[in-house]
Amino acid sequence: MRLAEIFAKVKGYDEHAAVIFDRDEPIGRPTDLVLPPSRRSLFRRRAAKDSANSPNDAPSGTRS
Amino acid sequence: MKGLQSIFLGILGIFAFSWVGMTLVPQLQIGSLNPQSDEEGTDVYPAPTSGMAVRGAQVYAENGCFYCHSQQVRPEYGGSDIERKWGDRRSAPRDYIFQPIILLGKTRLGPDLANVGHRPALQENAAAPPTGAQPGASPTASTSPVPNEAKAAPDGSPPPPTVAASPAASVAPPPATASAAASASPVPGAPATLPAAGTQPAANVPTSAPAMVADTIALTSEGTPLPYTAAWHHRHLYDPRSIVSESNMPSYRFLYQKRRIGVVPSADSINFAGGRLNDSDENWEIVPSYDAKCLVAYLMSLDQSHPLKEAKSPLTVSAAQGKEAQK
Amino acid sequence: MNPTGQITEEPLGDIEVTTSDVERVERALIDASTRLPVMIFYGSAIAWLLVSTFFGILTTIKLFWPDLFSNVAFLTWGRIQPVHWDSLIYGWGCMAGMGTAIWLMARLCRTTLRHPLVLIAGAAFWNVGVLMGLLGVLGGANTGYEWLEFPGFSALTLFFSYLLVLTWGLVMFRYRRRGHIYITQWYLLGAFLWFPWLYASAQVMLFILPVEGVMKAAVNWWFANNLLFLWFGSIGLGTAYYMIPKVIGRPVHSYYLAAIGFWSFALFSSWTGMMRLIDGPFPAWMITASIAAMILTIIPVATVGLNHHMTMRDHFPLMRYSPTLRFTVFGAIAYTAFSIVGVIISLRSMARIVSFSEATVGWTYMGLYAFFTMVIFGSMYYIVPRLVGREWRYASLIKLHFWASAYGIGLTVLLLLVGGFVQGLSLNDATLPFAESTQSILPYLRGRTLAWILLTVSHLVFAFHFGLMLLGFGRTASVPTFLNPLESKSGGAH
Repeated sequence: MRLAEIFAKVKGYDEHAAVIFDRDEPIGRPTDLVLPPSRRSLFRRRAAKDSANSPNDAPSGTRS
Repeated sequence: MKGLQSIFLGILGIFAFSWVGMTLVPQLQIGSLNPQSDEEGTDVYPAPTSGMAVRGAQVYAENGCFYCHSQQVRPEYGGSDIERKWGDRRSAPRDYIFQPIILLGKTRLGPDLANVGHRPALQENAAAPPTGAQPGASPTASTSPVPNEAKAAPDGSPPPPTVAASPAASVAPPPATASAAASASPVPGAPATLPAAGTQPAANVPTSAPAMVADTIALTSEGTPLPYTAAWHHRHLYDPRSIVSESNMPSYRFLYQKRRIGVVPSADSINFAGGRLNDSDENWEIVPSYDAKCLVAYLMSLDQSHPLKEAKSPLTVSAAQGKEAQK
Repeated sequence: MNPTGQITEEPLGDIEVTTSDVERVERALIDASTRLPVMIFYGSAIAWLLVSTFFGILTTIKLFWPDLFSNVAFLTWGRIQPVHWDSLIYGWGCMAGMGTAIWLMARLCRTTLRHPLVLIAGAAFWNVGVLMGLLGVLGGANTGYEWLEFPGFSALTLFFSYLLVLTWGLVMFRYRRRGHIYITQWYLLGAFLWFPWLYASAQVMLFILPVEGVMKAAVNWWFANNLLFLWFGSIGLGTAYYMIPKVIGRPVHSYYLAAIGFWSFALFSSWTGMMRLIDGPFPAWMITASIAAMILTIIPVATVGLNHHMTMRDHFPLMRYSPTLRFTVFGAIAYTAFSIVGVIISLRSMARIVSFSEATVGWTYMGLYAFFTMVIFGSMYYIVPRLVGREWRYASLIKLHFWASAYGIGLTVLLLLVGGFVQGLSLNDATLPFAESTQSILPYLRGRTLAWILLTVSHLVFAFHFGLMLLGFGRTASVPTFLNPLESKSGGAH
């Protein structure tokens, strides 16, 4: 049982490696990119507001 | 969260391990050393740095001398330091317990200075008959000699008259290939040889109140100050390239003041009769500032030649025997 | 599926909001919230980089032209040398590193940046502290300890300012979103917690409750090496572990290996300080421990190198297009080289030769510039567009920056390592007068000035380009600033 636990733990590690990806910037897509035009308008609007606003809660998934 | 706790513990614990192991534990081991003394409680080494030399250490640090000069003599297996006569023995922690700032240095664009205050004595010894007397034995030159004085034996006794017949005369202008500071030591092997004939410099009797500049400086026959004497240091700091033409040491002119000579030249002036610096004429003298005098006092205080029980070398063994014979 | 095409598609409108859209918005919000503090840190850092570069040129020139400005006290070599290093370390390195760390913290905590004023105050005080410190050193207030030359009032200001940044970091971390803590955040947490302990210990043990005698030198170099490894190294490694996977879109090859790498890195590099004092007046065990630790750092270095290599496998061609990847991979490779050189110069047989030569200076440049600075440049190329909402304007300037820096630092390091070796050989030969050793390295030091001219060009170019971004003159095209234009309109090549 112990060995299986260790294997599971090590395997789980690779899930940790994926935390920086999400549906918006998924695995397989390079991201050294600029924000697309639609995001830019959002950017300007939001930038004027207080940056301490907390973001909307997402239904699921992790992102960073 | 358990994972978080372990991360924090790990981060702090690993660093604590390094902090304790690399700083606290060694501090316990070498952090409260006392000076060494013999059975009677005399011959204490090292003596605390005091007086002008303390300020001198600050001037040394403020002007960044430690970026080019080191102050640590490595053992024979560690490098050529002892071969170069930069010290009789390796440096030990006890040598530094009274140093106001620890300026061990990390680069040698200029020579090592751990024993630079001892080098004039080395030159004297080379001249003196082998009586075993070592005027440079204790580094207590804490009060600054008036810069014009040659480095007298720091315990106050006048040096033997043979100081005049120093072989340093033959060494004064270092070999043509020069650099940051003049060659670290007299020509290798010099201490073992007697002076060359015909290079007798002017007679020199140091006093505490020199009358005329020219009387009080040990000069070579060419009229330049003996290497590593206080006067030499001033010359060297003011214009390194006047001593060693290819030196790339910066000149510290801003520590000196050029002014018209009054009735008589000042006792402090560093361009004395018999040897003029390149850019001075008859009516001007160059006088060290207080900082310059302190700096030179500090340099003259750097002397690790005293034997230490924990850092032996063949030279100190024979010196100790010589001392035994003296008592 | 064409990824570039996907991202330039018009969204479907507000009616249908996908998770992906929400995540995009969140990410944009987080980025936007970090804009002011991070840009302030970056802007200050670049200003200090220019200051350091100017003094760097002056110090290299004065080594073979000592009479230049020789009568001016505040321009004497022994004062401008520490100003060059300290503005590089505390001005550029710390502020750029903190800027990147702040952005990474916000991203990894998955929450918008809170209390930006704390960070802005931190940046302001840090700038004041650095300025006072540098002016103090120029005016003659050097403490006598390398990398700790700043006088007390300056050090106190820096420490206070850092506490502001640290407090911010801990608050952010406290409010992070649930989920696994990514490896980058381990490195950042490490760096953030180690630095104040390191700096405070050094200040206390050297100046406030000083240790006796040569222990001061031991504390000095313990501090310096730990700053290099545990502060700059950690930030650099953490940044690389984020940027490389993010840019190429592939997760780290072996996360398990990354974890081992982190712990072994922290354990071994923190003991290496005494390798700067080999055969010095210290108990032998201290020096031996540091040499052993240096050798053992090969373990974390190998894990990091292997990990990045395996992650990048088959994706190396992307370096052609991505500025971030170019700089970061250069930095990561430099990290490996830096560690290997560090081991070599720590071996006693080698130390005997190079201990007091310029080789150690070259090695320090490898760590501070070839590794850390290049990785940070890469991170800035990634982060700044996401803060200002525009892309870098001129790909040619990015290329110029990269090659000038790469060749500049490569040349500097090579000249100092080789020249240092030559100098050391000469130093070690007691039949040669001392002067020979300095003469032997002078040609290399002249060459080093040329290398610094390259670095000056590189930094001026980058500062100009950054200035454009700061003033809003970045490109607004939807095509990213790849270093080489995409071959086809559909943006196929990656």
